Amino acid sequence: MSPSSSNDVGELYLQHHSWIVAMLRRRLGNREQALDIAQDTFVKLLRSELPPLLREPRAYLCTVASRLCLQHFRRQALEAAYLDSLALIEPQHQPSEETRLLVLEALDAVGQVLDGLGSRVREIFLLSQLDGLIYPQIAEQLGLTVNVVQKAMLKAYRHCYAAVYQQ
Amino acid sequence: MTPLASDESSLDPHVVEQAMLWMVRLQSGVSSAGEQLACQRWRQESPAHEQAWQRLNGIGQGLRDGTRGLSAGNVRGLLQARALTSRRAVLKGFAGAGVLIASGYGVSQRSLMPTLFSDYGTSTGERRSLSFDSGVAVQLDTRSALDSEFAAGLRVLTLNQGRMLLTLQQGAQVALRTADVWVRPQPLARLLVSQERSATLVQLLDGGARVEQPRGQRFELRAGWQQRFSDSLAGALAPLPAGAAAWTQGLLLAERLPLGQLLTELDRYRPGVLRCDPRIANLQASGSFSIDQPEASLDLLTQVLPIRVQRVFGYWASVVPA
Repeated sequence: MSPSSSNDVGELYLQHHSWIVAMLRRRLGNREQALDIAQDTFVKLLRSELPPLLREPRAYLCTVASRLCLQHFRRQALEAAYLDSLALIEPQHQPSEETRLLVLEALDAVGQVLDGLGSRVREIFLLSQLDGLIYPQIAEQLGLTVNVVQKAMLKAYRHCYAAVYQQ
Repeated sequence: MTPLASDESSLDPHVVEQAMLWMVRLQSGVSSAGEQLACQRWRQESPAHEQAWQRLNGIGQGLRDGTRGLSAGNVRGLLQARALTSRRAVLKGFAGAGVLIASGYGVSQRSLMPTLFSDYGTSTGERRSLSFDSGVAVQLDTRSALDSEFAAGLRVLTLNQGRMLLTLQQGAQVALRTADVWVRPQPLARLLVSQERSATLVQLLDGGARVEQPRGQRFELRAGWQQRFSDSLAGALAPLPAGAAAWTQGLLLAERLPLGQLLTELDRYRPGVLRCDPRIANLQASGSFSIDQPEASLDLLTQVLPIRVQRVFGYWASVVPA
């Protein structure tokens, strides 16, 4: 994969930047956020390979921007849930700001690798990898057969391997 | 879960697939000694086999390393919360959800997550009693946040989020600030103050209190009455509903309350997401429910109403018609 020529992206930027900002702003209701995500959209295009012939550049930009919005919202949902969980911890044991950031980065990265897996497959994979449960235990806990657990694990491994090594 | 070191070369997909089959067999916890030995042999057959094996190992290892310090259950819950933000919600409900989220975004961290940045906070389902100098006592309800300072010889409290019970003993003095108004209770007053989305609800249980809006309008409230204030408007003075203070005893009192409202209230005390099917939101519920045990309260509801609860991983529950 060769990164797109910066010229092509430059053209796209000139022609469509204000349009995409307006579109995002309409959807997000917030100008700063719209500008941020528009920026990320073009950065992403610079780093990836553009289809050789872009018939519908706006539809393409819109897809990329929507995906970034989704990631952004997921990150926010994760942050909110994490902060919620910290409220359970005694003040003297609260992790430092830096630790929090690292944990969030790691969780978000893990989440991105798992994105696209169904919630059941994800749960099975995490029960195995995090909780260290063996398959019969997972099967019992979720009311499944060991065979289903095994298939789900294979599916999860294929997915994660592709996400980590084939991007 | 980043790729292991500088090794990004591609491996034969067939080898990777084989490695996965071995991995799944050995991790199952029910592999025989013979299988374990056979797997060892397979790994030693070629460097590519070993590399594929190590990559798969690395995925699980990366997962554990990245989340060290958090319990497995916690990580699963957090990832679940993250993934619940669905693509469809983003694309379709964009306008609504986006504005809602965007309104919190860009505002100070403080209002985004007040319970974390305040002097005193309660998490979901927690109630907390605090006592300050000179006879000022507070009980914080679930998901609430309070700041406290001593300024110009006066105890000044700031309710950043949630709901509180404030009790003053003889001779005690306190000023309470919310996002909308100042509240100045009289000595011996007992009152509930709730910070709502764009208003403050003040409910007087005993004694009296003065409420002051930023532009100087003043209101006097007496025991047995409640009133809602924004920073510039005031709602109608209304009698205090029965059971207004029940939460301070861990109870939620309902008298022919629409189920939707009851669940909204219960949701505040329950970790995770609680949803009510619109088809049953108008069913009426009466009774006293424990807010300390929201799950038991949900189960109790299923016994008196034609409803059932669908739970997913304990975090996400939907109340639907039976």
